[in-house]
Amino acid sequence: VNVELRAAALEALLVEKGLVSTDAIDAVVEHYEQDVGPHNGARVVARAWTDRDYKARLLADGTAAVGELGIGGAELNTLVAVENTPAVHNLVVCTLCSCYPWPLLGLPPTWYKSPPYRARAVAEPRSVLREFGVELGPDVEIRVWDSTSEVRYLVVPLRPPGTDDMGEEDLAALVTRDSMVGTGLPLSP
Amino acid sequence: LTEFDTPWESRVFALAVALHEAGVVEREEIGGYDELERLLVESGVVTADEIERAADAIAHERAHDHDH
Repeated sequence: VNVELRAAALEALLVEKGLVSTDAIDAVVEHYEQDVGPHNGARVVARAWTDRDYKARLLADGTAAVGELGIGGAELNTLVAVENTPAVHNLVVCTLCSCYPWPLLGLPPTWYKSPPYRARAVAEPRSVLREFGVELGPDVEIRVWDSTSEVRYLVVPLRPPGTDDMGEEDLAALVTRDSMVGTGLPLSP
Repeated sequence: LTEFDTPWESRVFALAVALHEAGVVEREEIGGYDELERLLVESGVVTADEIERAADAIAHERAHDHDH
């Protein structure tokens, strides 16, 4: 029996046993589809790019700084923001399961939960990044952050060149989900 | 849901979150369907047999729907 059928069967069984309701599941899907998404994270990054003091607060206490923008929740016990620089590139993984800063980035992508990513991001981050299309110079240090249920990470990517005149909202549109996990770079204007 | 290959995966994710909120599973994050099934079977919430039978029933229902 294929896994999709088993998943449907499991849901039906649990509903039948009264352990969970279809409405509750629908509500979770709707919440993460409509209210949450990478745009929350992108707002945080764009603010950090344009407001030096905010960036300092974000790097010092991520949870409090995203809270200033009204973002938070039980999934964000401790948020640590890590900043990319010309010399350092940060990459986030959860080697144990799939801990992810949902309130900032929405639902985790399939590859984030895949065993190859979870294993290889730690063992050979440079080749993983290359497969994502991110070529880093040999001098750039890669720091890999392993998420836990207590600590989630947000990468603050480097602000792309040629964006000096852009405002926060336009900048946020350049910030991709992958750039905040470290497997991508922001878009160019 | 472009982040997911297929919508059923996000359904599994939502099911896991809903189960966590209902206090059925302790862990909030589930790696995927296999992990969720293992957790639930190990904790005695469902048996693999039950899932197998329910899946067969759904497969049968769907095949029947396609006939009409």
